[in-house]
Amino acid sequence: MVVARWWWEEEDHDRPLDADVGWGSEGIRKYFDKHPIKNAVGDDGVRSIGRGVGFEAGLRGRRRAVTMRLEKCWFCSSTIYPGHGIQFVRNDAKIFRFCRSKCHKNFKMKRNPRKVKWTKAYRRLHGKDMTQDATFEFERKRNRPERYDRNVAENTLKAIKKIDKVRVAREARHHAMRMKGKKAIEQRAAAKELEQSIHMVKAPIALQQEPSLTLPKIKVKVSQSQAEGNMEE
Amino acid sequence: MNAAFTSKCSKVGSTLLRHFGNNISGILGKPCESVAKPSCNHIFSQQQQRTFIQMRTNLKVVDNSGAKRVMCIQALKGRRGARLGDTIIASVKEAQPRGKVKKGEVVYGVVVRAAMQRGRCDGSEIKFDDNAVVLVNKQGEPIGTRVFGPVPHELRKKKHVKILSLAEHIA
Repeated sequence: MVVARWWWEEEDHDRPLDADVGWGSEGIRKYFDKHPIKNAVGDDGVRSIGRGVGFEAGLRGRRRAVTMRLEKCWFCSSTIYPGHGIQFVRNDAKIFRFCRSKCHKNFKMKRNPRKVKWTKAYRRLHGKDMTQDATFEFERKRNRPERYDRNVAENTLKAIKKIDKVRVAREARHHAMRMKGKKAIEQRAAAKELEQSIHMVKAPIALQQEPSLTLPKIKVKVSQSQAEGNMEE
Repeated sequence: MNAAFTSKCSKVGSTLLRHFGNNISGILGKPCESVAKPSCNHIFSQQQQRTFIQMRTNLKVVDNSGAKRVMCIQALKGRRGARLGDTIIASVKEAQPRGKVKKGEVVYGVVVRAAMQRGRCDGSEIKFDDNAVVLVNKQGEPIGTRVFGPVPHELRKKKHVKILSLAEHIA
């Protein structure tokens, strides 16, 4: 199995949400049988350093930490770029990262991200977003800094664009599928409302002919002489 | 558990009792170790405003030196108090019977966890569940031989590599 290496965050398995989603590696295998990416790095066993790249670099004094790591917000699942947000370390060493104070405050209020409508977790859980797709399998966290290889870098950059395009197209298709029956439903609802409340509407001619249908005109005295304001209700 | 918690809290004071309902599940900090300033934010009354580690702050000792709880009596750096990674002078308030450190001793300690957030070198921030300290001697070498719980990697900058290598987790 061949996988393009990238430094994005793997989904955090401690989260309640991801247990339900169930990423299968079957799809990706099929995808890559059809569209092989050449010169990518083989997926051998990833040795876990577990202490972060910066730590490792400082320990050996060999290289400075240059790897940029994009984390995912614990609450809203958006990408956290370096230098943004706050992280909270619980006493059992679980790290909660937040992209902004909004997410941090919601966490402090003990809100469940699966019940808050604007989070990715909610949208996934309620079928608003595409959940199972082979294109998501490329975003993975790898604890080993990759040795630079020009070919690999070039191919990865190419693959990213291609995968992105595929993903956007599939998301659009998913949205279209989700919204498929919406127009018909709206039309049906409108037709029903028209049928049920047509009696509230009168034709303009009928209003002119039958004065009892409109409210009577009330003449009001206005002190200013220039405008004879016809105050109609 | 509820009753035991209440009796524990009643010593701490009525200010903390207001937060009792929110703190019960214990995810966001135990009230007994929280920073001493009781000014609470009424919009988000879940948590106190976290401040510096200053004189009379009680800190948990997370090593096997024998002390369980110390009280800060002096922050060695900083006008307003100590933060994550700073060194403090503390007095031992609770200690285990046959430890290296006795109750009433004056010790040096490195703040390895602080509930107040601290900026990191890249501009993001980090904060912890509680205020915890590792006791060191005047030369900065740890007294105990083990360190419990997560510690931040900023300790390396403060030349506390020994604490880092003893730590279970590095955040």
